[in-house]
Amino acid sequence: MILLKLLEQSFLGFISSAGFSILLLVPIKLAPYAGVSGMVGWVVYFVSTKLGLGVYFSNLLAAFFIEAISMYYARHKKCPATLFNIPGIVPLVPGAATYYMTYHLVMGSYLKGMYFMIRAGGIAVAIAAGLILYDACHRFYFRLRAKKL
Amino acid sequence: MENTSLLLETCAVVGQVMLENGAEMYRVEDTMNRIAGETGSVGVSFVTPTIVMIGLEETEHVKMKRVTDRTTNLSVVQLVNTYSREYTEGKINLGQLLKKVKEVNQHKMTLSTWLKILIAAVVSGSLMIVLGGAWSDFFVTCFIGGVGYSVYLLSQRFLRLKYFDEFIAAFCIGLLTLFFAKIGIGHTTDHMIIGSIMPYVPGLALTNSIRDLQQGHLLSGISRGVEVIIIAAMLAIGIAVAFRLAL
Repeated sequence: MILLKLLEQSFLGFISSAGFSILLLVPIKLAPYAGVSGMVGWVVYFVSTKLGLGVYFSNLLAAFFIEAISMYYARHKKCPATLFNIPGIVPLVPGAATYYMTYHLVMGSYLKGMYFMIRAGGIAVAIAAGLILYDACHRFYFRLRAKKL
Repeated sequence: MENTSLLLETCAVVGQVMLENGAEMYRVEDTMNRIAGETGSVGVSFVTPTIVMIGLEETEHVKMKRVTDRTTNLSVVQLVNTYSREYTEGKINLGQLLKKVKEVNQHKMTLSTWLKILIAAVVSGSLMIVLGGAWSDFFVTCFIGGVGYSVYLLSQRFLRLKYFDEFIAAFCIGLLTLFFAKIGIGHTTDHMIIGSIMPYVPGLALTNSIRDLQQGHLLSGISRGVEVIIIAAMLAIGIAVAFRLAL
């Protein structure tokens, strides 16, 4: 049952990221790779929230993996990593939090609206932090290796 | 002299084309500096979302280009990246690079409208389920997402008002969802709306803005961040108006 759920989630993550990459006009033959980065990111997020790691940390972890895969494909396909990480983070982007924020603000429950506003900002920063963290690790690793050789 | 002006022109055009199609600031500056550095001179570039400037350290020449409309077309970014790499590897010369980049920008890869709408519909449906909706609402959400995206494209083509496209698309999505909920087809209203507005949520601008801030491009980071806030607010206002009308 859990396996089935995981399969469903990864399939949908793949579809949304690959579809979104086509909307952003990534060359069609590169779209499946963008889909894979989105799929892995979403599965990491799904599993880590189920393990109880919290929303922000799960987003950070997922973005970290997305950037890792994007950089890997960027090196192998010789094209910018942007082609893979922008569609990859699509399922993570805080659309839901933004929507609930407006909904509650319109309905007059300002306290709940503020709660979701802070949540949306936090998620955005967590995603960016995950991407940047992998970049930093990547650079540090290469500098270390260059010094040794 | 002839050479310098050709070099500066090429750098500026490459920067302009990359910026118009949604590349990050540090990638644009890096590419421009690398092309300028190939001839042995040191390039000094300054890039914000609206302007591209390039000068050479040892001459007095500065080339400037204005960037007015920015869209997202990552295939152009990829091609320009490939060509500039070919240039720095010495496979093509400066004149060829300029010609190729201009050609890419004139004959951009585009998708047919129907394909775009179809993909937006499928993406809306699958994102709705990913974010916690029910399978029974899948096809309704696809329909709503498709209609929303067609309204978005129509408004982009005929109204030509910046940021109004997102507003009108969100408004239609809100109205349609509430209508379907009222006649008893859709059940998870919240998730249906969230899934359908996902194609307009400015994820690209959001990450680019935070990336730019981290790389030290404060001006670009802040201005892109403001753009994100405006688009998010437009989506929000569109749905809010729909709610007010329907309730």
